[in-house]
Amino acid sequence: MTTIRPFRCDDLFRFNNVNLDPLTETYGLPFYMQYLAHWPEYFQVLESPTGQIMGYIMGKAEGLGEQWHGHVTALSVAPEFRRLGLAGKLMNGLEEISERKRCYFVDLFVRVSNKVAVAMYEKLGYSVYRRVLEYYSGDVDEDAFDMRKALSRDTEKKSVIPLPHPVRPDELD
Amino acid sequence: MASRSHVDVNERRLRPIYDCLDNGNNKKAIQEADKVLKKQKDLTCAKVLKALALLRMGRVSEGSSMLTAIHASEPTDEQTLSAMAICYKETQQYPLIASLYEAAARHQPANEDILSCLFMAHVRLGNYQQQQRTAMMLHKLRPAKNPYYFWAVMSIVMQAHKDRALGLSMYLPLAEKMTQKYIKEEKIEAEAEILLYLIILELEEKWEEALAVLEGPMGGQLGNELNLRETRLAAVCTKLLKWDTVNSIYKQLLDVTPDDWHFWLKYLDAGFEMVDSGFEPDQDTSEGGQRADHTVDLMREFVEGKIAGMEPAVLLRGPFLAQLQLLKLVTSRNLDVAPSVGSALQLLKEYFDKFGHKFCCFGDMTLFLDLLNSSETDELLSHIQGSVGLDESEGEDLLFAKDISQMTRHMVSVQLSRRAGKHHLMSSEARLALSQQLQLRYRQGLSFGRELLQTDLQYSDNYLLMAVHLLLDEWSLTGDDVYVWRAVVHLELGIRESPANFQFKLLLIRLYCIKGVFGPCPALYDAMEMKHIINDTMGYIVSNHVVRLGHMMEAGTMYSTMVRFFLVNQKEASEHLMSSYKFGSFGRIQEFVEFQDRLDRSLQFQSAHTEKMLLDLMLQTDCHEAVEAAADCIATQTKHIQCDEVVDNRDLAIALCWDPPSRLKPEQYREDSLAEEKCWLQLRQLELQLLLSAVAAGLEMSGAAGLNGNSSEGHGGGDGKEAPLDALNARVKELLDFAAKSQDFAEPRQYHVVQGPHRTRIANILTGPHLELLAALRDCVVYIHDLHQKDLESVGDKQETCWKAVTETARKLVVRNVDGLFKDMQGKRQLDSTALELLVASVESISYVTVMAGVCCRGLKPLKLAWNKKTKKGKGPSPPQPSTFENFNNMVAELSSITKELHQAASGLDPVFSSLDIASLRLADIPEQQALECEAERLVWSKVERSVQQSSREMCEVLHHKQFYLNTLML
Repeated sequence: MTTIRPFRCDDLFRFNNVNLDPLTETYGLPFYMQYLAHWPEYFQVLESPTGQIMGYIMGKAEGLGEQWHGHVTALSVAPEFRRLGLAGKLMNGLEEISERKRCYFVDLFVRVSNKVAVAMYEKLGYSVYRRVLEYYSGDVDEDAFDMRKALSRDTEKKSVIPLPHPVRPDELD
Repeated sequence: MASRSHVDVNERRLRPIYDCLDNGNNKKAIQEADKVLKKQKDLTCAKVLKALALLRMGRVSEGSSMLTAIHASEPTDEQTLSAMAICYKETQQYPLIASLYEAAARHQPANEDILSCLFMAHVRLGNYQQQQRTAMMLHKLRPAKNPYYFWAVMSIVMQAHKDRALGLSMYLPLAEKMTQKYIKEEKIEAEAEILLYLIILELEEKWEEALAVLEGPMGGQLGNELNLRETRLAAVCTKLLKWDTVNSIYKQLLDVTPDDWHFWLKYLDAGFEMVDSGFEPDQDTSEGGQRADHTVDLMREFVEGKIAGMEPAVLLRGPFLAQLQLLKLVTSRNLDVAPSVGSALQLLKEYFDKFGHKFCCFGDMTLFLDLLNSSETDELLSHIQGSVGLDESEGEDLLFAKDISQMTRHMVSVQLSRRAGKHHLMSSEARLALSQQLQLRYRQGLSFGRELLQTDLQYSDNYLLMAVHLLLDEWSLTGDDVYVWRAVVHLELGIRESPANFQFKLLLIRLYCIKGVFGPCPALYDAMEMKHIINDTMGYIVSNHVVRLGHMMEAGTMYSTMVRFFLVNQKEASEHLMSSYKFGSFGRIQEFVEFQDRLDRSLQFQSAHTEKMLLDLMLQTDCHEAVEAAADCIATQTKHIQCDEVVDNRDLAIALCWDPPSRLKPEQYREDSLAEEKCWLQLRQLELQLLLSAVAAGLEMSGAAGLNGNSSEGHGGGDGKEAPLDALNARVKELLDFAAKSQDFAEPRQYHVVQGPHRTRIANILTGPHLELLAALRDCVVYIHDLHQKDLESVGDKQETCWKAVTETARKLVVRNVDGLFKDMQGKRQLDSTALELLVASVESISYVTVMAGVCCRGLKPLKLAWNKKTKKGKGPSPPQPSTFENFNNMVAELSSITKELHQAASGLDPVFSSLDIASLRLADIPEQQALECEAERLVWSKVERSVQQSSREMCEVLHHKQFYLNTLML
């Protein structure tokens, strides 16, 4: 029971209950504005019946040729609204838009330690494509999984054949 | 134009300069630029880069004059232009970017790049007319490129935003016509262009036309955003009061996503519009599309159909809540069909049975609790308690939840009973027992979360939060601090188990601040990673306290961070607008402009900025020259927004709270607190301006205004025409008038303990001697100013009253009759922050007084010098020195002794100095057998002790500087 709608600038004043969560990064304004200006259809927010922001997704479409894909930049759900399947709902929306844009696949990065998230993405049909070493910087750097799901245009599911070796962040295209 | 190879050579030569600039090595950049210029004198870009390095090194006048010369030469090469644009961006001289490209475009009217840079330069300035003109030039140059044409259209729409009347009569019709031209010629290419056409039609309120677009082939091309066409169509039909269409659009959307709350609301609202108007459907239109549901029965059937159609394994909340919403709408209309829809009590019972194990169940149910009378509420609560089955253990051992689901259901039941006011009806004993019980449930609940990561919340965290709320209830009722300290101890323990829980941290900050302890707050604040825009929305939880509690260094850091966010954003704001034009997201442009305005006028921005400037005048100024330098620096920054125009971006609803609506009135608190904040801001701005004009008056009297004062010419802070002394008089009058008008705020206000904002310091300042004191010093300054026009020998003691008035008022700053850090409450000793707050206000005032005394000194020095000269020359017995100098010195000496007394009071607060062991007082009164709590309590006391110590030390430090400062003022 939620309302899914396009993210608006004013939501930035109200997303604290989502963003004060330690795994949700708060970016500088230009970052959000760039997404709002460039990929507005990929920036969606969930609102509860009481008017609270429950979570949001930010994404974009990029890449050339068979690398043309949808990318999940940020996905977060406020603690009190977890375990309601909201993340899945947001991901479905992003996949559908990517289908309309004729993307080959959707990808995302996730901390290897974030087992709940990894399991959730697996349930949604994503698989680990490769491991990215020390992708997240912090007190201790952490690796990321680059997870992917093929879309209908990638009939042979070529985009999700896992790479045998991990890569460094500077090797990402 | 230069050939390509020539450009490459230039690029290669310039590269080292760019590299140095990128690395921040400005000195070397200048050397490299000089090297290149030796070889190639006319390489303008190298000159620009040199100027940029000079600017970055702070050699502003050298850099600027180079740029002015280059600007006058009207360069056209792209390298030079973009380098100059960087210079102007960094110095925020945006109009110059436009004039730069304007000139270049005159020389090269066919250069697309230059024109498009010119367009963007106008976007940065928000000059919509020039945008339009430039876009049309681009269009003429490249008629095949659609975006240029629509840049012009959008620029016209923005002019309509600026001038509503002309917008409707002229701009919008023009924009519409221009777009129609492209539609007729079938030149429309992008979805963005169709959307822009819709924006125009909607602004003109041409709903029929908008409907035609959406229903026609162009509507079919709107596929980028989910459900965009349908929701737009519904919005337009709403305007046209075509409720049957609206209803059936949402009906279809609900067939696909039966869990969307917005869709349900719109579906039901449209349905009830038809019910209210007695709508009868047209028999013929039912073909094809969905039929609208125009009666309560039809809507009920639809809702029930959705419920029946659900797989039992995946229950959606949507249809069940829709059922309740339907009932709510029926009830509000007193329709007699209510029974067929069901009873609210029954539906809510069922809702809990189905969804009680979800955390969000509480929020969902609160939407409909008003449908119940009090006996029904009781019945609902007892049904819920019975079905959870954990509350039936009176007198025996507590029954604990067997799993997370049961625990969550129980938690929701406790929340609902608090919401129903049950906690507030309890006896103290029962309330404390419940709090204790919830703590035990919390501890037991931790066992379900052993596998959780550090970044997850514990499932039982909200038990603890509720237990703490109950303690705070008791504290509010009795005023006994034992409860607040226990709450602190429990929250500190909670953070250990659940370090990711920001609710605990927010409440801890709140409670520590209420108790006058700022020390632990910065760490808690930082641990929540409050940054960027969160500075605006959450900054309020610390910014009203940090100065109030005497943590000046931290205040400086926090205010700087907050202000920096806003200033950086102001610089970057236009970039977003440019991207919107670039990507054709025209719908965003107006939104971005409004968003920027909301940030610029933010209360948090204005108050942090003002506080920071006042702080700068107070800290680290131990002589008057330093104050003058600081004031000069501040004068360049002050750009005041009228206090009435500030907007409140505070996120006041962030703290979880389950209080009954009769006690929790967020809107009321926001309104009251905003009024108080505006008043406080105005008072602080007046104080600041008063001090600045006093400093300027001092400079003027000393004759130095011509030398140093010229720096304030260019910045235009204030209107510039007002003489400093007149300004000072005006500010003092405004301040006193304002204070008289603001007596409503003389009583400290209190908002909700958990969720409300915190009061400002206004009551304290209005009731103390602070403003009176500033006025007394103003009298001194005015008196000295008059002496400049008079013969000093004529001055008699009778006129010399102003000095005494100052010292008599200043005496009142010495905080008396306070028992240091403690007060007695019903025979118990309690930590009391009143003394600290009073002391901080006095320290602040004595700092301002010192500045004003410095101004007096500035005015008296030339008089003394002239007097000395005169008496030395005179051969005969020198006339008696006028008492002015001595009286002034006496005043300074007296101020110095007051400062010393404040110093003693400040160091007296230090618990070490007063050899006080706060921990030994056992203020939380926690039984010794609770080892965990006792250990946590000890840590809390050491934090309290360190914090008070810090406040005391910082006060002493400031006072020490002031004494030094005062010493330099002796004539």
